[in-house]
Amino acid sequence: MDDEYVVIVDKVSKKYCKSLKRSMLYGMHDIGRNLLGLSSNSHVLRKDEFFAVRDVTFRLKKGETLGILGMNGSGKSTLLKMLNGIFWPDKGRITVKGKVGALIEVGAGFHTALTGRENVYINAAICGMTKEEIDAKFDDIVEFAEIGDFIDVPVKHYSSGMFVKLGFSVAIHCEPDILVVDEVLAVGDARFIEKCQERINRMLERGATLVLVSHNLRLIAAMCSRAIVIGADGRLILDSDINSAVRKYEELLLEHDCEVKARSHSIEKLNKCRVSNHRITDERGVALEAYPIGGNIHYSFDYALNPSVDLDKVRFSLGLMKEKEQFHVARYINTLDGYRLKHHEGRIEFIINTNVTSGNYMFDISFFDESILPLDIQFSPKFRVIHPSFPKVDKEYFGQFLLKPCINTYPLKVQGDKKQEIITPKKV
Amino acid sequence: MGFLWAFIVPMVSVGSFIVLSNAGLFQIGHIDVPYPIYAILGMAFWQLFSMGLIASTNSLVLAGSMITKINFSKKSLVIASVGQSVISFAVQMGLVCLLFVYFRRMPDPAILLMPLLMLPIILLTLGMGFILSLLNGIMRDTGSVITLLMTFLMFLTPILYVRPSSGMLAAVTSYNPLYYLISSMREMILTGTISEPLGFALSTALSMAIFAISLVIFHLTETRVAERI
Repeated sequence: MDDEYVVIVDKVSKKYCKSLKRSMLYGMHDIGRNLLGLSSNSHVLRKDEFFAVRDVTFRLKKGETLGILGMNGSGKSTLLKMLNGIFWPDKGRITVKGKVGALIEVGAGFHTALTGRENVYINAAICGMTKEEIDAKFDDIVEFAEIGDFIDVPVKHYSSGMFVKLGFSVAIHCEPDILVVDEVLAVGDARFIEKCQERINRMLERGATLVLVSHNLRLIAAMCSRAIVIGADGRLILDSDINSAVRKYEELLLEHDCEVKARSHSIEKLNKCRVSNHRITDERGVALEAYPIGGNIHYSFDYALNPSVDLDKVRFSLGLMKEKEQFHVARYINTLDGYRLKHHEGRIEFIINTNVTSGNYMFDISFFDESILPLDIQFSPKFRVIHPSFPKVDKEYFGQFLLKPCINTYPLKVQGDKKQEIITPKKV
Repeated sequence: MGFLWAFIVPMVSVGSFIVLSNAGLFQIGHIDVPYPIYAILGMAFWQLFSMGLIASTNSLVLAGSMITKINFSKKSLVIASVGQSVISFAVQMGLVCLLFVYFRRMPDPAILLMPLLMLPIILLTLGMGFILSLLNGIMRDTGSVITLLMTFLMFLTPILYVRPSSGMLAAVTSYNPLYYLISSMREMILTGTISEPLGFALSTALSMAIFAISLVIFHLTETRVAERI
């Protein structure tokens, strides 16, 4: 049963010490116990110690993509470092099958006085590639990183973006079985991030596993099928699908929104909006495996707004995302054409014409009121669009254009004998 | 200045000793070979140990940022720093050969056994380096203590002067493995014999033991250092 899992994290905890002197003492103590073969008393917190990661348990199968969400300081990087083997957990066990490639920090392992070329050899050797392998892949690495002539310049002159490109390029070419990525992609430009995603997809198709930490919800929704949420105390709060995890993460953000607003206001926001029951069908209401280009797709979901919310102030935005990309291909915001919701609860149906290139897509829908933090963000299931004559997915299209959906809304509740009100669709 | 540094340090130390002894300030003792050769040969071996030890003690701390971000075997850091001191040593041996030519002396054919003779002291350096680098990673004072100790030890160990026949220093030196290792190697090159074979053998055994034990200790605990470095 355990064979199918490539990563098993079992009740893992990690302590850090706040005071330097005590840290040194504890270090000596731990090494002594290590050597004598005694287990360290890790469940006990000595003075000035605290748990960065606490009792985290999850398992990954081969080919799974896991996103890790959590606020700053919740122990995500510590968890990644333990997955990478940089240090051992204080309690619990981590079992990993296969080579782990990690991108934990920009420019780690780069010696500033050496040129890019020499650093590629060093870093690839650290990853475990032999000199012959590196020689063979060297040109690919440089080309992917788009460094060009700068490869022979000492890396102290590189920008942080160049570091990330080169580091990522080396890590990808190591062909790890498990790729662990921390928030490094934030530094790259949009084109490069697209390239990275495409490469990661290729790796995933070959059976690699991905663990991704990010604060960018769209990136996680695009790349991962499953997500875990780590709380501020280092505990695993939730392990489930993307939409639930995203919602939980938003709750955490709002709960911590104490310095900006009064606490009560934030918690209120949590109950202001709920989106659920997403459905994607064609005109006849049938959910297809693939939708032809040029036809119409119906995307609908239930929404429930708190009665206290002012319907005039509610904005919602619908974004069309290409699978595994973090940018919207097309977007619609109701403030542009002045559409307003008539009911606090109901079902919204968007009718969208699929004049996009073939590929896999998904929608994201967010509701906002006056403030910046959304009332709710949710993601639709993924769907496929194909050109009837050319069913294979062709080259990616990058850009953004305006979606012009046709919107229908229906109230959810039927009240007694009252005739159900039908709202005429707004022509756009 | 690159590799010139490998020459400058021994030349400066030895030069000061020569000046001091010519001024009659202290007794070097009786030696058969020209003093420069004696001194620089001794210094070369001493530096192999002391520079190697200081470099390896600091090796983990210097690579601290890499250790906390990448998973790799830290033994390579210690071995690399000792390797650097071996290379410096090779450069200094070049200087020694020049001196032999200058003084029109021939080294004993045993000089060809050099790589083998170097092994005990390299093992001792590596062994102590493994342990000290771990200690330094956890308690940073260790690096400074070692640097201080090396300077002190250099004067205490009879490298630049002949071991006195009596007195407290003589007694202490007879328990100093470095003395046996360095002077035996020097004797092999100059005369082809070792005058204190027992001392040399015991020192070699001690070096091998230290190396073996510390390698095991390092291997078991190298990952622990990453948390505290």
